[in-house]
Amino acid sequence: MIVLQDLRKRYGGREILSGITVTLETGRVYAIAGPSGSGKTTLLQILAGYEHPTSGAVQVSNTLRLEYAPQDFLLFSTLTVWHHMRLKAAARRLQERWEERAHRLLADLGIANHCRARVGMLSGGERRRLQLAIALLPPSDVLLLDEPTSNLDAMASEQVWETLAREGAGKTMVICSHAPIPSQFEPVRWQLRGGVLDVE
Amino acid sequence: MWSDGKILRSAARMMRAKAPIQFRLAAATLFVAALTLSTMGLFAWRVVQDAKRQFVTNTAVHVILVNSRSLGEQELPRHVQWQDRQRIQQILDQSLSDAGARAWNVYQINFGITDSEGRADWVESVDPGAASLLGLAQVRDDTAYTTSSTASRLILYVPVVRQTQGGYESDQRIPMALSRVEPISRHAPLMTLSSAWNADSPNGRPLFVSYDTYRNILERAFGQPFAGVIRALERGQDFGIEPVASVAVYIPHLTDVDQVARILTAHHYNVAYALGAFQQLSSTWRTAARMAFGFILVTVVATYLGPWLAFRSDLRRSRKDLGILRHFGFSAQEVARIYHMKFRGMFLTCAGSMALYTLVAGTFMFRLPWYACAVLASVSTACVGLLSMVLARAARKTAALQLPHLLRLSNEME
Repeated sequence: MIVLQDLRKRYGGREILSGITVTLETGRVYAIAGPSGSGKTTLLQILAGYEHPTSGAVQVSNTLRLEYAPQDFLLFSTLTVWHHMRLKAAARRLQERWEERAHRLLADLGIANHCRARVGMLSGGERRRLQLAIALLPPSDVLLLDEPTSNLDAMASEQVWETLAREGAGKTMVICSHAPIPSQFEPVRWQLRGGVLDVE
Repeated sequence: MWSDGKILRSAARMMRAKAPIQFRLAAATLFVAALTLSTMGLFAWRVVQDAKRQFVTNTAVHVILVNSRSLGEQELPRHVQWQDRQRIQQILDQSLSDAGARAWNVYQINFGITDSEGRADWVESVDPGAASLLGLAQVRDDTAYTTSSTASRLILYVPVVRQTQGGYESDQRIPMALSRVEPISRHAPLMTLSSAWNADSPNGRPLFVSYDTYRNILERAFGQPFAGVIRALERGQDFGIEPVASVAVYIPHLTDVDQVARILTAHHYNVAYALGAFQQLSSTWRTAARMAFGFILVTVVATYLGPWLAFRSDLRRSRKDLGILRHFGFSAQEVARIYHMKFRGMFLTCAGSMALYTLVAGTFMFRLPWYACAVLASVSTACVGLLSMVLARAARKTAALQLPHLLRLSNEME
């Protein structure tokens, strides 16, 4: 369970998040929508611990394992797809059968044949799927996904949603997306507007 | 199984593989900087060695020649006399006994003596035990020492001097054989200090003999025992010669030379010494040495500033890389270690090759002693190591920045 209490974030004179108080329950999927610049990414970054709130509190249990797939590509253009999977496995100290799982994830997301390709040679959609594969590789309790299907066509989006449904089963997922989230996730839909979170 | 070291090394290898051209340029400038510093150090040490060899350890600069004594402002200086050597030795023993200075006479015969080569020789000698003034270990009685003879033996035709009412004359020559002729170095202390009067010329050349041979020549020339000649000279009898050319004072420690000269001057002796000629130069040298030191320091700083700025630039460019590694799940400390590992091997290679270069070039090219090469190799290695440490510290500070600062999240892919 993650609890946000009166969370506020201010950049300069502009308040991005204005007193958000919500509780994220374990195993639920939360879909956050909102116009560009409404603070969706900032909210995810605060949840991931990348940003600190200006005021308020985020209560996250230390035992929770969070993985964050940001909207920006945080990849090394000169390293290969497989290098990235190795780096992630190394960073998370994955010990057993991670290669097998990595191959399966890449296959599920439709980029298995790009294992040896440098990231700089990949299209935007392929990079998006690689970023998701990286986030999904280690065992986790919470998945924070920022625009997981941007740059993707319908077919690739379908692959991504199917993979997320399978890999995210039982996990808490917070998904920020302009694209509609399939109903199979039975998400709690929130609307972020003017720094305030409204339940739809 | 992943071990921490293996994980970080593996990550560092991947990071090194993606190192941009700036990193390679930084590495190249580091090698150039280390090579420059090493070569400058070797060259500077060589210069100091040469200066030391040519100056500090040169016997000529340890010697003061006393030629005359000025007793009053109205009087002309009088030439040093037989008893001055003993007086000078007493003055020095009383005033500066720690200096261990020794005074010796340099003898001369004021008229030329023709030899078997047909040349006129200005015969000179030094006190027993003062062979080092001639750059010799010993002065043999049967040997003539000169700078310009190819003969293997020499016969001196010593004139028998008769005093007449008008002066001195000689119409008889006594041959005196010297069975050996040996060369004397032009750089011998006495030759250096009295180069003007010891110059080889068409009028004659300096010829050094042992003290006993000198006495023998005077005895033959004046037809009486040497002691009698000296006694007569001391009584003021004029023989037309001044046997003592100068008193040479040898001072073992260079730092005492100037003080000894001042003491002798205070006792009205007129002195000439090589170090004195350098007194004016020494301030120029000190200034030049300060400037050289400053220049070397500035050069070293400037030389190392290049790679330092290049590596700093690479570190700044690598901020996002460090951020991505943290995003992947590495801790700030691990990220700093990964970045350190990325350049550590290259720094080690640089330090090792510079140490090897310094040792080899120092020994074989610059002909420096092994300890000098070892010191310079250590300094060179330490400079590279210091740069590595400073850079590692900068990497630690950078890696510990907040992720948004590192990532500067944008829509641009890395």
